[in-house]
Amino acid sequence: QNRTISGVVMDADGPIPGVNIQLEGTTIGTMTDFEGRYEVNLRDQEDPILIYKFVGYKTVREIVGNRNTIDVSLEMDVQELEELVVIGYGEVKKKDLTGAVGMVETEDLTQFPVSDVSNALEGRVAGVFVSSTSEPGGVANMNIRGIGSVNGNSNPLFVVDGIQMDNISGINPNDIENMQVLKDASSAAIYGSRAANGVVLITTKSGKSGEQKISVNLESGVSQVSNSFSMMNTDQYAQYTRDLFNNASTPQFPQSPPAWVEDPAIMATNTDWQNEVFKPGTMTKADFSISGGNDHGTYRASLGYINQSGTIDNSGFERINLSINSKQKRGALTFGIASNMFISDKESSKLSANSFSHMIYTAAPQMPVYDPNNLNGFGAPSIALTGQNNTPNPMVGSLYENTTKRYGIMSNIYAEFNIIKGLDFRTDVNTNFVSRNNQEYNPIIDQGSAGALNERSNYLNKVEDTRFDYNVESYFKFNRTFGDHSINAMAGGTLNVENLLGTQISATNIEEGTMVPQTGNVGTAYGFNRTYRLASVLGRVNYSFKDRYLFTASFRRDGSSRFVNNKWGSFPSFSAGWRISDEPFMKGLTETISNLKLRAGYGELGGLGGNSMPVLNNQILYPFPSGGYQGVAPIELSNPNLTWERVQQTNIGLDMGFWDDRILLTGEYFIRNSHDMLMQSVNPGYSGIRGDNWVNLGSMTNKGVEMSITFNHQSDNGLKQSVTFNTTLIRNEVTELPESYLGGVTNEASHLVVGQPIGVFYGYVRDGLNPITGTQMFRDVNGDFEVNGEDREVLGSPHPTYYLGLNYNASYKGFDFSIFLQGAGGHQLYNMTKQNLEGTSSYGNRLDYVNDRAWREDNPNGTLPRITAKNESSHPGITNDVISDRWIEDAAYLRVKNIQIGYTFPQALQDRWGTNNLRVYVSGIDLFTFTNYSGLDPSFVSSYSQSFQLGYDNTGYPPVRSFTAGLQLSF
Amino acid sequence: CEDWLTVDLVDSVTPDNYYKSKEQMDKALIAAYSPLANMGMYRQIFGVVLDLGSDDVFTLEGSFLGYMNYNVANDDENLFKRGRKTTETEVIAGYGIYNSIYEGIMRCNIVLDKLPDSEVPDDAQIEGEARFLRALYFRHLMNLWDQGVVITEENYNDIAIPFTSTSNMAPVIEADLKLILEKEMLPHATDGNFQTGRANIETTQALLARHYLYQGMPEKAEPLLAAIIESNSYALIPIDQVFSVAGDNSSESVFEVQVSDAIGGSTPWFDDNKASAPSSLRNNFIGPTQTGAWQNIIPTHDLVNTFEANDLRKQNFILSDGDPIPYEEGVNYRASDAFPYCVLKGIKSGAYANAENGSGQHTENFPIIRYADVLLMHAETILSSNPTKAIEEINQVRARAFGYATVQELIAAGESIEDYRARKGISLFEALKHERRKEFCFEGLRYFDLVRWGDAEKNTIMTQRGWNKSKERYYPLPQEDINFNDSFL
Repeated sequence: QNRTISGVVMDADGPIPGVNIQLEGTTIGTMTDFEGRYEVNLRDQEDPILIYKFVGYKTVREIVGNRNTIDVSLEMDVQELEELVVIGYGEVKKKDLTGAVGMVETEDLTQFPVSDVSNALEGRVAGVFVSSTSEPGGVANMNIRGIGSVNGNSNPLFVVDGIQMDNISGINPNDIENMQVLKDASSAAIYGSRAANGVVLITTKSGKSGEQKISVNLESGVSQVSNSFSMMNTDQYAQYTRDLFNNASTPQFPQSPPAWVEDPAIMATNTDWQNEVFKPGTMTKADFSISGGNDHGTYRASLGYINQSGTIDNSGFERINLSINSKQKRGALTFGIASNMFISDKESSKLSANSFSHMIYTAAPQMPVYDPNNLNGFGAPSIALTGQNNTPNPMVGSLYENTTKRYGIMSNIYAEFNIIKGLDFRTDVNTNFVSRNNQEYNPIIDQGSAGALNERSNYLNKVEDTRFDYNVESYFKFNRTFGDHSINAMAGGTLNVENLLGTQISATNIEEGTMVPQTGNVGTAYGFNRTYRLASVLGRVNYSFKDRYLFTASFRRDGSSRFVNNKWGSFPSFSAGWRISDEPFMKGLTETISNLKLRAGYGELGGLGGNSMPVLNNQILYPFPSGGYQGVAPIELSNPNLTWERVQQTNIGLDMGFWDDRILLTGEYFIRNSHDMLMQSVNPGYSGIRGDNWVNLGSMTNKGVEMSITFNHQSDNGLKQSVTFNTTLIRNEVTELPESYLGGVTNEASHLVVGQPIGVFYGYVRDGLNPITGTQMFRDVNGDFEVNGEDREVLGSPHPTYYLGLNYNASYKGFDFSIFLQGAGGHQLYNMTKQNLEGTSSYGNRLDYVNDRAWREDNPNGTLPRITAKNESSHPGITNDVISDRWIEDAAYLRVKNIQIGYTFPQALQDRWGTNNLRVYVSGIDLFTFTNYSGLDPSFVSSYSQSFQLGYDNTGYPPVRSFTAGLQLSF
Repeated sequence: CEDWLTVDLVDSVTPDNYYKSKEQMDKALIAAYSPLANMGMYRQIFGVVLDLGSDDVFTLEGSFLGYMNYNVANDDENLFKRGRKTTETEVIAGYGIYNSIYEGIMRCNIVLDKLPDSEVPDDAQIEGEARFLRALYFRHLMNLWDQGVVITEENYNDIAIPFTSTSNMAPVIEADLKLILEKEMLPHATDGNFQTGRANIETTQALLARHYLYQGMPEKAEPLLAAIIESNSYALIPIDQVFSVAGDNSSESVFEVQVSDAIGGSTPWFDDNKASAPSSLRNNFIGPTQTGAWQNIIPTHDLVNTFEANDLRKQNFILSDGDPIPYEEGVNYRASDAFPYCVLKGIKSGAYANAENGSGQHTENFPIIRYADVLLMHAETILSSNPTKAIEEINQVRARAFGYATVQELIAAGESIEDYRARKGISLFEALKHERRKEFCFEGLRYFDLVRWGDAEKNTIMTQRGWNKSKERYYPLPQEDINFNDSFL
C-alpha cells in the first residue's frame, strides 16, 4: 500500500533545511524544506528503512515500522567536520591534538542549577578535581591533576573568550558554548607563568548564520538539607551533663551539675536546633537569548537571571547576566566583540562560617529558641539554663548581615586581517573589570550574662574594591598545507596589566540603621592600590606530516613586575602524536579500530605568588607621654630573589576508537613535578625580623593515570544510549622541603614531610579503653614504655587516590533520561565536627549515642571513653579527644549527583505552537550518597586555604539535596 | 621593558619612599624604642623572667613559668633551662626575648644607616638616641647570652654573619655611648628640648656606668655616675611611688620603658607590633591567685627576711598574709604554704580582671635605671676610696626607705647603713649588697648583681637549684641561629 511518512529533521539548534532523505535500497527520496519538514511516499516497500544524510552530520538510519511520523535529530559528525579545538591563541583540528585536553559537554554544565559553572564540573573530566558547594553563590574548589603548591592556591587559570581570570563566578553557565581543560604542560605552556595549575578555556555562545532564533530556558526548584546529626534531646543531655560533672571536676567546670539538670521547668523545653535553623531553599533561573546572522556576520545577545535562597537564613544569591557576542566580516578583515556583564548580590550567613556552624549542633536543647524578654527576642544561654556560656543560641546568627555585591564587565574586542592565504594577523584588546562591595554588620547582641556571642557595640565593616585588568595581545597566525606537510603556527606578544584598588573601613557604635559612626569610633580605614604587569612573547608551531605524524612545540617568555631580581622566565613545551590508525598497515583493521593515536609531551609552567617587595609597617607603637608614639619599621623580610614556582609535566596519552567510534577510549599517564615552591623559611633571630622569609624551595610530585571510556549505542527501534565513564588514579608526594621543615611541620592534625602526600594526618593510634578508668589508651608506637608526642604517626591522607564519574544517557521517542554518578576514595577526613560532638573537652550538646556507648562502671563494654569533664586520657598530658585515629575517618563515597527525566514534544505538535525543541524536565541533584563516613559530607575539602591543611571537616554549609523542574524552547 | 616591569608600591610605605624627612626618621626611631615594650620584653615576660634566676623569687613546679623556665631543678625538659642545648621551639619559648633584642638592634641600625641620606643627615639627637638604644639592646644581649652576632648599620643587611664572643660586643656598646657623650648628641635631662621617656646625656652616662660595672671596671663608672649626681637633675621620690603609676617618669626616673593603655586598647596581648598598646600584663604572671592571676613568681622567705622591721619597702613591694590588695577594695591577701608572699611592686595599680578588656591591664612604666640605682652604683665605686661619701649616698636611699625626710633623721633614728652594718656584723660592701637587694627586688637586677659580685656560686638558694657558673650563667643560643650561621660559614 502507499504510505506517506512525514516529520521534521533537526539538530540541537533547530530544524535543518536541505537534509537528504532516501528510502534504503531505492532511488526514492526527498529533501527537507526550509523549516526542516519532509514528506516521503514509501510505495510498497517491505520493512522500509529511511536514511537521513546531511553534510557535516552523522547519517541516521530509521526503521519505519508502522510509524507515520518520524522526527529525526541529527548529530554533528566530529570526524567529517574535523572538529576544531580551542587551545589558546588559536585552534587545531581535534585529530591533530598532541596534548591532554579535556572537553566538557555543554549539556553537562547546565544540568546543575548552580550560579558558578565550576560546581558542575565535579566528576566530568578525568584529572579535573572539583569539590562543589551547596552554598548559594558558592564557588567550587578546583584543581587539575592534584595540588601543585604548598602555599599558593591550586586553582587553574580561566580564559573566557581570551580574557584571563581567576574564577568564573560571573559567567552564566547558559552562555557557555564549550569548555576545554588544558591539563598537561605541553598544552598549557602557551600561558607560561600563569598556567602552573592548568588552564580552563571557555568559549561563549555565538550566533549562527541563518534565521533568527530565540531561546528560552526556565527552571525552578527547591532544596533541603540532606544530612544531619542525631543530637541528644534534653533528657539525654541532662544525663550526659550529670556524668560529665560527677565523674570529675576541674577549675574550668563547676563542682556539681548545674541546676537545670533537675529543674522540671527547664527540662520541659526540648529544642531541635537543626530543625529551627534549616529551612527549605528555593531556586529560580531564567535565560533568554536571541541569535542569528548572515554571510557578513553573526550576533547573539542573552539575558540570564538566577535567584537562590539557601537552606540557612541569610544565605542567598542573585545574579543578572547580560552577554553580547558579535562577529562581522568585511573582505579580509574580521571584527569581533564578546562582552559579558553581570550584577550579583550574595548574602552569607554567619551560621555557614566554619567557625560558627558547629554551634548549630552543640546548642543546648533545653534552651528555648525565643524569649521576648531579651534584647533581640532570642532565647539566651543563661547560666541557670546551660551551666556555662559557650552554647550560644545559633539563631542569633541570623542577626548578622554579610552581603557582597559585585558587578563586572568582561569584554574582548578583536580584529583579524588576512594578509595572504594562510597568514593572518590578529589583535585582541580585552578588559576585565570587577567591582566588589562587601558589607558586614553586627548589631548589638545581648545573650544574657553568659552569652558567648554578646556584642557590646554594633559593628560595621566595609570593603570596596575594584579589579581592572587589561590585556593586549597581537600575533600572526599561519596555517597552510604543502603536499604532505601541514603547518599551523602562531607568534606574537602580549602585555597584561592587573590593577586592584580599594578601601576598607570598619567602625563600631554606628547610629542604628545608618552607616554613620558615632564620634571617634572609626576602627580601621585604609586603601590599597596594587598594579602588576606581565610582558610576554610567545609562539607555537603545529606540524603534521601525512596527517599521521604530529609535532607541536611552543615557547613563552614572561617578564613580571612581581619580582625584583628575577623578572624573566622561559616556558617551553614539546609534544608529538602518531595517528597509528591512519598507517597503511592498519588498513584492514579500520572496520574495528576507527581511531588509534599515541601522544607524548613535556612542558614547563610557572606559578606566581609570594612577595618580593619590601614593605614597612607603620602601626608600630611606643607610648611616649609627649605623644608621637607611632613608629615605622619593616616587620617582614622581602626576598628580592623570589621567582616563579616551576612545574614540569610529562604526559603520555592514547586515544582509541572502535567500531566507527561507537566506543571511545582515552588514557593518559602524567608526572607533574612542582619545583621551587614558594615556602616560608625561618629567619635567623639575629636578622631582627621575626616573620618567616619567602623562598623558592621545596618540590612535590603528582603522578597519575586518567582514563575515560564512552559507549554509544543506537537500537533500531529508536532507543539511543550512551555511557561515559572516567576515572583518575593519582598520588601526591612531597619530595623536597627546606631544611627548616625537615623535622616535619605539624599544624594541628596535618603533617608536612618528605615522602608523604602533602598535609598527611598525624596523631595517636587508639589502643582500647583503660578497663579500670574507662579513659582512652593510645598505642606506644616506638615501644619506649611511655606514650607521648613521639608516638604519633601518619594516620591518613586528605587526598583521594581515585576519582570517578559515570554518566548514562538514554533517549527514546521524545523521552530522555540521564543519571550521573560521581565518587572518590582512598582518602581520609579529619572529622572535626565529630570531635566537637563526641569529645568532652567543651560544653554543648552531643551526638545521641554518646551516653549509650560511653564506658561506665555499669557499661564496661562501652566503646567510647568515660564521660568526664577532665578530658584526660590514660596518659598524662594527653587529652581524651586529642587528634587520633578516632577522628581520622575513611571518606570514600559514591554519590548520585543527578537524575534527570525530560520529554521533548513532537515537532508536529510544536509546529502548531510555533516552537522548536520544546522540552520539559525534572531533575534531582545530589540525591544519595553512599559512604561509611560519619560526618555530613564525605566530599568536604577544607576550610583552610593552605594546601597543607586540607581535609578538616568542620561542616560549614550543610549538604543539600535539590529538585528542579524546567522548560526549554526556542522559536 | 625593564622599566615597564618595575612598579612602585604606591599604596604602601616602603624603604624607597620613606626615611626622608625628620618626622619619618623620628618614626623609624620610635620603632626602635618599641621592642622594649614587646611582650617578650618589659611589657610582660622579661621583667618577670630576669629575676627567676636569682634568690629573690621562686616559681612552683607545674606553673606556666616553671614549665618554660630554668628554675625547676633536674628537669631537662624545661624549655628555658640555662646551659642546655636549644631546639627551634625554644626561640619561640624564649618568648621572643632574643628576637626582641635583635629587633631593636635592627631598627637602630636602620636609623643609623638611613640618616646620612635623609633630609636631616646631621640630626645629632636622632643619631644619639639610636646609638643609646643599640647599646642598651646589646647590653641586654650580653647579660643573657654573652655571645651573639654583632650587627651594626654596616652589615645589617647581611644575615650571614658569624657569631662572635663578648669581647667584640662590649666595644660596640662602649663606642656608641662614648660617642654620644663626646659629641654631646643628646640634651641633658634639664634641657628644654628634652622629651620625657627618651634618652639623654645622663641616661647615657648611667648606662655606660652600668656597663663598666658589669665589665668589672668601677673606676671608669665612677666619674660618669658622679656627673649624674652633680647635675642635680634627679631626686628620690616617696617610697610608695616607686615603680608605680604615680612614679611614672618622675624625678627619680633615669630611663624607663613606657607603658600605657592610651592606645590600641583591645589589641591582643601577644601582638608586639601591629598597633599594640603596651598595656602591661605583668599582673597576669605575678598577681595573687585569689584575684585570678597566676602568681607565677613568689618572693622567697630569704628575701622577705632581709627587710628590717621598719623598712617601708617591704610593705610597698611585697604582699604578706593579711595585707590589703590595693587594687581590690576590701580584699586582703591570703597567704598559703604554696604562696607565702606575693609581689606587689609594679602591679600596685593593676587589676587582673579588667571589666572592659578582661585582661590584667595596668600601666606602670618599667624602670631600667632609677636615680636610687645611680646613687648605689656610685657608692659601690667609691666604697674604699671615699667611704664617707659612699655611706652618705647609701643613707639617702635608706632614709627614703625608712620614711625619713633627711639622712640626718635616719642617722638620729639609728637606722643608718653604719648602724645596720654594725648590728649585722657585716662589711660595708655586704651591707651595700643587701641594700641593693631590698631596693631593686623584682626589677631584674639582682641576678646580674650576684653574678658580677661572684656571689652566685656561693648562694645557697641558687646552688640548690643547680646553678653552675660555667654551665648556667647564660642562655643557650637558639639552635636555629647556630644552624643558620653554620650554613653560611
